[in-house]
Amino acid sequence: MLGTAVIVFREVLEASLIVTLMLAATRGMSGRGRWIALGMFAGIGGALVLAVFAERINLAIAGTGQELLNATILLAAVVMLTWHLVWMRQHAAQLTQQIRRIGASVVAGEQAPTALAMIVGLAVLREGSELVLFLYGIAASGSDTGTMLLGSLFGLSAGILIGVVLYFGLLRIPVQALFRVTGWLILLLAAGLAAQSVGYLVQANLLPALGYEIWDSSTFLSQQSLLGQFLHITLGYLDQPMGIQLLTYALTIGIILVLTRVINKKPALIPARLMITIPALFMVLSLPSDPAHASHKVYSPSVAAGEMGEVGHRLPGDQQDHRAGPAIYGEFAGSSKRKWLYEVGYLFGISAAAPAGTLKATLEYEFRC
Amino acid sequence: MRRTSLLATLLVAVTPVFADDPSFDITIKEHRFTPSEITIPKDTKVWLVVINQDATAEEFESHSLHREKVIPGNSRAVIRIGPLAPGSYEFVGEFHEDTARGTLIVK
Repeated sequence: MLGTAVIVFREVLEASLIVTLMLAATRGMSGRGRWIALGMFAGIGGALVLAVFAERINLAIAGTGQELLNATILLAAVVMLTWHLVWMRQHAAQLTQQIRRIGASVVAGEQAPTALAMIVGLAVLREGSELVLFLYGIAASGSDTGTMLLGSLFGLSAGILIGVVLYFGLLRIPVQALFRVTGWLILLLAAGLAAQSVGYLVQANLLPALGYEIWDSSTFLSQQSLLGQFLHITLGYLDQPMGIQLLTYALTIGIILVLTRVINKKPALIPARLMITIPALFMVLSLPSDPAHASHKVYSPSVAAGEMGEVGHRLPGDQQDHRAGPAIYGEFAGSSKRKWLYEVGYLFGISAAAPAGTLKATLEYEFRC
Repeated sequence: MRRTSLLATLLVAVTPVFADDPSFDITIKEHRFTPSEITIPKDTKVWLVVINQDATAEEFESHSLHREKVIPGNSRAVIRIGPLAPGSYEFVGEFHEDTARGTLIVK
């Protein structure tokens, strides 16, 4: 019975923590209860459907169907969390003011975003289908079903209980700071989910691991322990991270920070830009290139470009123009006499005099006469 | 445009699947792996074919191999691993962890 309880608890915990974090993050908004209930029901329904088709999903796409599905669900959740953060950035100040004025009750006029239902639904869907398969197995095996169900109930309650504790813990944060705190937590949650997602893509052999174990802190804080698992879900803690997971973690934080600022018409901060540029560069540089199989060749990334001023007349630092960013370049299949070359990239300004963002695209036609 | 360039990056990463890599069978029966110890060559990509002969689902999980995959009852799943450094890597069936245990030895 204890074994069953532990497994159910593990499967439930992730969904429970995500739902309660989202509940705290939408405090005072009208319609949030409806969205969350809708997401939960859709998630449970979807989990049942997935469990029924589990065998077929497993066999799909050269046996990588399950990995690709998991990766997709997680990435979709990352996109929805990003949408929520962008939305909150526009509404947080107003919400805070209204909640302070009329207390914790529902604030009229601020409708919780639809992304909320999607986030909850995806969180339930992900672990839900595994849980359905597991519980179905118990029911099918027939023996001591009663005690197993009791165990499941224990596990379920314990998972929900931890979520409830987190929720009330978060609610103790004063309203002025609440949305800032939940905002940062959601940012780290999204980065952690993105790292999990690329883990599945590595498993499906679509991405290189870039190092299986960049560090090993499992003796210090095992990911299997309760605290380790809690931190894994909320902050993305990994005790044996793969290289590509670390890069993805940083890249996701960078992209979300830049997006939320750019969409709200504020220049992106330089650390956030570097968090995109540096991991993206690492990733592209370390990708295995396989030009023989490509219809056109793609070469390593370029990082452009800075001007320090004329030789002998070096400009002061604040007038120098430095930009850096991910770019790809390559050539279209051509003959030895003529070919098309292209280069596309997005450069962030990394000095004061540089523009915040530059789109760089060149197309080149080479010929011999 | 930033999104476009990232997308392009992902596409480049898709490497073709080679079907001629060595494959190793593991059978799950009565919540146990047979064989429970498998030796695979180092620095080589291999396929693990996990055949679940039980009626109940099992989750093949290995923390050190970074693999987790649910295998429904009476079905099979392929799991790609490697290239790996020499050493031994534990794996378990998460749904029946007390009996379903095994070791992958890389030489």
